[in-house]
Amino acid sequence: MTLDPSQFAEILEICPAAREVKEGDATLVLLHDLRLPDGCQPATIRALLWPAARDGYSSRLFFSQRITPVAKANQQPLNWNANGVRILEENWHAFSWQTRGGQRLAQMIGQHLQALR
Amino acid sequence: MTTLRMTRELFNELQRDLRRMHPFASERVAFVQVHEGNRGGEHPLVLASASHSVTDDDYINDPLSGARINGTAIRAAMQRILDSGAGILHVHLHEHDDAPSFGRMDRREIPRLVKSFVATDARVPHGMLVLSNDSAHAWVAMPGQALRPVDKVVIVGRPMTIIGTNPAYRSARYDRQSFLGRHSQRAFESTRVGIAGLGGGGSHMAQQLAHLGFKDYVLFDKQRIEDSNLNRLVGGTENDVAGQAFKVDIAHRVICGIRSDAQVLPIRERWQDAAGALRSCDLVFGCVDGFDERRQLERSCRRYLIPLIDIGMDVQCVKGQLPRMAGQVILSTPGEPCMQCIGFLNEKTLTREAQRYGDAGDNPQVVWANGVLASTAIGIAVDLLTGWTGKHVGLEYLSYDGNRNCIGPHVRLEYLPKEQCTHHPLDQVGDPV
Repeated sequence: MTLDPSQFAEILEICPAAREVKEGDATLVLLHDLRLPDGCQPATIRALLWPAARDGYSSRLFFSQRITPVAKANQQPLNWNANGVRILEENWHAFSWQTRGGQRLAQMIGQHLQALR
Repeated sequence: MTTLRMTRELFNELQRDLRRMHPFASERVAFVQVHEGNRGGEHPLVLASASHSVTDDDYINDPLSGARINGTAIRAAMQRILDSGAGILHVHLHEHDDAPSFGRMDRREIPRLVKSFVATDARVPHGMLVLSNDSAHAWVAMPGQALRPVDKVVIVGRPMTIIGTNPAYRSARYDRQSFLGRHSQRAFESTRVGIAGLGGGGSHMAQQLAHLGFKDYVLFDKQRIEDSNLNRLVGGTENDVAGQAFKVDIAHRVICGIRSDAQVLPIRERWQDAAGALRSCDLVFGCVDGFDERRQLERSCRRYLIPLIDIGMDVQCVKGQLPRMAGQVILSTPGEPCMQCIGFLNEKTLTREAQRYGDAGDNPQVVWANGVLASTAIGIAVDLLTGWTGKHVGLEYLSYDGNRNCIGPHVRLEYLPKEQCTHHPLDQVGDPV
């Protein structure tokens, strides 16, 4: 299965170096130099969108390293519950974050990044 | 140390194709699509994914050559390189037993062809492969390198054949296991085994593999022994606990105490953090915690055409009932049904596991159940490498009932899907592009 071209075009607007990749029977999006919300450390990161159900989440956004979001008062720390998970022969990290189902791919990415704002 | 791996199914398919009679050619030629693995690592891999026949019309009637193919067949092979982004091996068959080699004409003619494959795409491996009835030999030009013989050819399936140069250890030590076959010790000594997790299960395995005569080990575990491990960790001592020894170092000591010439690579890290070493293994034993880690390990093993033997156990304690001890041993062979195909790994169990993250507690573990499961896994490995039982199935799924002390085929095997595994397509072998 390949991704819908119009949806992939929307991703390219957010991340021009995005690439569609296969892992087993899943089609994923590899996001090189994804820009993170202002104040995050690092500012850009290599990320991987798993756009289908996985581990009880409707989609997951994995990162090549843990991110330090902007510190805010009364903010709950992120629950990094995937640490060094092996996908595409790389180790990835993800925080627990549920997104609404039935969204377009670019919206999924936006919703995951919302947790860092 | 370059290794070529291909599935038994592909090896058989090639033999069937190459044995077909041709109207005038006395031999046939085929091509195999190959992918690079472990790029830049100490143990480069060449991984075969598919075979391509040469049609009858594409042979040239040449009395001086057993099989001469025309430009159409060669152009088709070159086009395949461009279309697939994969490399190509030229293949032919010598119909005899034991190791084949390239003849004088093969060594003169085929490298010219390989040169044109390299010119088509030098970023992928290309080469030449000759099969015999039960063996194989290959020369491969890895990207940027000259054409040269590979060190090892592994035919992955059941039986699994490892063709290397290791001479067998000669002594009376293995006389009582000689029923395993005349090549059994050579097979054990040529096999690089990986054990992911050197706790209750993996420590038993390391010990048994050493007794059997295995010689080449890669051990992965980042943990140090603790007092609570002494109820089951074979070889572990109170002194090790006091000295906070790494589990891999204990296994290393156990192995070398039995076989002093063993080559052991103890890795004090997770297998995920030493990927190159995992890929270099010919056979991996998975003694890991949790379903998600099994999914990851199986994926990596499938990608590099490595059979995986997984073990695990659990004890369910329900209030008001007796504890229920259960476990499993699974042989997952590339090209055969996987842990998802058999329903062992599924979204429901993975979700449940993810939801109880951080609250899993310590799973109950006992030495005798670990021993039963580890011994069964070793039995499967021995059969895989020697074929002594004559079994040909590449999938084993055994269910352990610790309350009844019995182990047998899992009921799910009766409901296996007929279709080929779609979770790990063979065209995805090798390093991700």
